[in-house]
Amino acid sequence: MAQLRRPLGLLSLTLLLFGYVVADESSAVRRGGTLNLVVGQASVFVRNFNPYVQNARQTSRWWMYEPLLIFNALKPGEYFPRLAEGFEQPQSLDYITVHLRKNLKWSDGRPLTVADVVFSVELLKRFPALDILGITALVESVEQVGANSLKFHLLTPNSTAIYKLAELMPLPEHIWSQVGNPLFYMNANPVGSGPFTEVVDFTPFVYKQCRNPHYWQAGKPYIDCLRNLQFSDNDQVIAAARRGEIDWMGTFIASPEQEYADYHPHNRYWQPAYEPVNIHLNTRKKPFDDLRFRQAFSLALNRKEMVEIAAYGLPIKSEFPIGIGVYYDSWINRERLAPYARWMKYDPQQAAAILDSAGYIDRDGNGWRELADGETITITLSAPAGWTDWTNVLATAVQNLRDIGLKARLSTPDEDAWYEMINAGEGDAVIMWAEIGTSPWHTYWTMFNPRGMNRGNIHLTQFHQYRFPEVVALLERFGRTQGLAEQKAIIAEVEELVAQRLPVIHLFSNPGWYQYNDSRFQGWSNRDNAYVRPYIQNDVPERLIHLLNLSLKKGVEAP
Amino acid sequence: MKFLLRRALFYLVALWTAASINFIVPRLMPGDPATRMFNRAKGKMSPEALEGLKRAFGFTDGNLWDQYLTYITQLLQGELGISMMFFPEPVADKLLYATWWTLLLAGSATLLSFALGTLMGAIAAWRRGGRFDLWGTQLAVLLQSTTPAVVALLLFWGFAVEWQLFPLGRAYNIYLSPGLNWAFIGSVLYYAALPVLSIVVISIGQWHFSMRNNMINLLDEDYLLLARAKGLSERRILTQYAARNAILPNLNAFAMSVGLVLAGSLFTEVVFNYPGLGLFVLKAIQARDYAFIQGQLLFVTLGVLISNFLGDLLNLALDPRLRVD
Repeated sequence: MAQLRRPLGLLSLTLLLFGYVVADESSAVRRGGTLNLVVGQASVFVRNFNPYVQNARQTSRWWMYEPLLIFNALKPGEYFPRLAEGFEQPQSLDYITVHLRKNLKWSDGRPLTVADVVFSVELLKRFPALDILGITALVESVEQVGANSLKFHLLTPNSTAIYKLAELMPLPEHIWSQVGNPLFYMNANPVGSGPFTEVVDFTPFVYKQCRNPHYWQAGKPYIDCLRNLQFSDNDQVIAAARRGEIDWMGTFIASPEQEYADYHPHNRYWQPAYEPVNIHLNTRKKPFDDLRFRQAFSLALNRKEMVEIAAYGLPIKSEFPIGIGVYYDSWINRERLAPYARWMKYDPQQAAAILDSAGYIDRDGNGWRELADGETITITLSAPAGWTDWTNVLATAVQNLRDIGLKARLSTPDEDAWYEMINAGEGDAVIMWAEIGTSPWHTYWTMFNPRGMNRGNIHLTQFHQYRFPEVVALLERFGRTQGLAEQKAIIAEVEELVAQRLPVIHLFSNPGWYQYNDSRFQGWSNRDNAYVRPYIQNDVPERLIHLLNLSLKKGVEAP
Repeated sequence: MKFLLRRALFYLVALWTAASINFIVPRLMPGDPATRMFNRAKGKMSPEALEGLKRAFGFTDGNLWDQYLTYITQLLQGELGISMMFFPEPVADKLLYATWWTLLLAGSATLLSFALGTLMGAIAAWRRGGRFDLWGTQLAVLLQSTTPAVVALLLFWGFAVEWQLFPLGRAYNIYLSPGLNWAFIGSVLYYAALPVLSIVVISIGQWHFSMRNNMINLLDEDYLLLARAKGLSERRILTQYAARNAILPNLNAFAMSVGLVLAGSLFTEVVFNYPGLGLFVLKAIQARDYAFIQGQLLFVTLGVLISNFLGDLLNLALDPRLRVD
C-alpha cells in the first residue's frame, strides 16, 4: 500500500479562509464592486485571453482559468485545493493521482470533466510552444482513472513535479478542439473555469472582466468585476495611483513612501524580500576558480552601502552567504550557518590579507595585484544598460575591489548582448537574480543543474559555471524525498556547502513590488495578515486566493 | 515629364534600399525575439516552449537569402508579418491604429506650429527691432533649444499632476465608448491639448526663424519699394508682397516635416501615454519586436518619400525654371 501524502486537509483550509472573514467584525461580507487593477504594462491592450501565451492579457492566467492546486509559498508544503481536491503520490514517486472536484462547470454552463484535463495535457504536449509554464515536460502520459481522478505518469520519479502540475489550467475541450493552431488563438471571448471570465467593454485602454456565472465555489467571488487599466510606463502608473484611483498594483517605485503613500491616506505598500541577487564570477577563469579569491571578493564588498545608497534602500539584507537570500526564511538553519556569516561582513583589511596569503600580490608595483604568472588581474563586472539599481550596485563593487588593489571595471552592454554573453559563458562577472520557486530546491536546482551549463546555451542563473556534484546529488535526493523534515535537512546541507564554497557571491534580496489602496476594499494580504504572497504579477498563482478574499468595505459607495 | 520620371525612379530605388536595410539591421543585433522572451521569463518558460516559439516567429536558422526573398515577397503583398509584442496580431493592424492617433497629434501640432510660427516670423521681420521682435524672437530661441522631453515632462507635471487641469494621459476618456458624437470628439480634443501644446511649444521657433530670415532678406527688394511708391497699404504689402514670397522655402520644409510626422513624437507620446507610433515603436524596440520596427521604419520612409514627391510637384508648379529643363 502506497503511503499517501496530503499536507493540508480540506477542513483546515476552510478554517484558514473563513478565519479571516470571521475576524472581520461581522460575518456578512459585502458583495459587489469593481476593483481597479494595473497588471503589467502595454502600449495598448490586445484582446488576447489565451492563458498559455506569454504576451497575452495578463488577467487570463489563474483568474479566467483556474489551476488544479495552488501551493502557498509562504507556508512550505501547504496548498489550496482549487479545481482538484487533492493529490496522492506513491513512495515510488513515479506517478501522481489528482482528484478533481465533482460537478465543476465551465463558464458557459457545460460540465468540466477529467476528459477536459486529459485533453489539455495532450494539447500542451502536442504544441510545446504553448507550455510556457513547463508543466508537461515532466509528464510522460496522463490517463483517466475512475470518474473524477487522473493519473500523471512521470518521466522520472520526482517529488517536486506536483509543484508544476498544480499550475495546470485545464481548457474546455469543446472549444479548443476546434482551434487550428492554439498558439495563434486569441480566445477573445473566453470560456473558463476561474472566478472572472466575462469580458465587458473591451477597448485598447481599459476592459472589465466580470464574475463567472457558473463559478464552482459557493459565495465567491465577493467582487463583481475587475477593471484593468492600460499604462505604458511607471511614471504614468504612479501619477494615477497618487490620486487613489488604483486598488491593486505592483510597480517599481524608488521611494514608495514619498512618491506614493504620502499622496493618499489609503495608499499602502508592502515589499518583502523576493528574488535573491548575487554576483556570479566566471569560475572557469583564473583566479575566480580559487575559493580564497572568492572569499576575499565577498569580504571586499560594502553591502550596506549597496543596499542603502546604490539600490535606494529597497533591498532586504541577508545574513548568510547562501545565494538564496531571506525569501525562504523557514528553510534557513541559523545555528548551522552561523560560522559562515562572517563572509557577508565588509572587511577590506582581511580581504587584502587573504589575497596576499594566496599569492595575489602586486609584483611589478603598478598598484594592481597580479596572478602568479605576472598577469594583472582584471575583473569586468557587467549589468545591462538601463538597469539603474544594479548598475549602481556594481559601481559600488568596482570601487570596493579597486580599494583592495583589484583592477575592476564596470560594463553596461545592451540587454540582449548581455544575455548573449551569458549564454556563451564569456565575460568575468555579472550581477544576477536567482529563480524563485515553491522551495529553495527550485532556486538551487536552477543554479547548479549541470544541464544548464553547456557553453553556448548557459542558463542565466548558472553563469558562475561552478560544477558542484555534491550539491547536485543532494538536490536529486531531495527530488526522491517526500517528508518536509527530511527535505529541510537536505536543504540545510546544501546551504552549508554553498556557504563553504561560495560558488556565487551573495549580495541581498530584491523586494517584490506590491502596492494597494484600501479605501474601498478590504481583505488584503499584508505585513499584519500575510496569508499569501501579495503580488499581482501573473507568475504568482496565489493572486487568485488573494483576489477571492477581497471584498467591498462597509459604508463605501460601490465603485 | 523627364524630371518627374527621374524623381520617381530615384524614390523607388530609395524605397528598395530602405527595405533591404530594414531587413539586415535587426539581424545584425544580438539575440532573437524568442530567445529574448525566454531569457526575460526568468526560467519560467520551458526550453521546449522556446523551440516552438522560434519556429512560430520564423527564426529558424535558415539561409539568409531565402529569408530575404520571403521578406520582399511578403512586403510586395502588403504583409508586414506578425508582431511579437501584440502576438499573434499582424503588424499592419496595429501600425494603422497608431497612425491615426499620430496623424491627429503630430499632424495638428505640425500644422498649428507652422501657421503660428510663420505668422509670428512675418510680424517679427516686418517690425524688425520692435518689442515683439525683441522678446518674441528671444523666446523662440529659448524654446527651440529646449528638448522635447523636458517640455513634455514640465507640462505633464504642472498641468496634469499638480494642478490636475488636464488628464494624465491616453487619447480619450476611457469610460466613453468611441463614436462620432460630441462627447467623444470633445474628449479626444481635451486629451490631445497638452501633448499638442508640448510639441507646438518646441517646434514653433523653427518656423518663426526661417520666416523671419526669409522676410528680412526680401524687405530690401525693389518690388517692395515699388509697392510702397504705388501707395499700397502696409497690410497689403506685408501679406501679398513680402510674406507671400518669403513663405516658399518654409513650404518646402513643411512638406518634409509632414513626412516625418509618421515617425511619431516619441517623448510626448511616452510622457502622455499617447497611443501613437512613437510610443509603439519604443515599446517595440524594448521588446525587440523586429517585425513591428521594420514596418514602422518602412512607414516613415514611405511618408517622407511621398511628401517629398508632393513637394517636387509643388515646386514644379511654382517655379517655371524647373519646367524649362
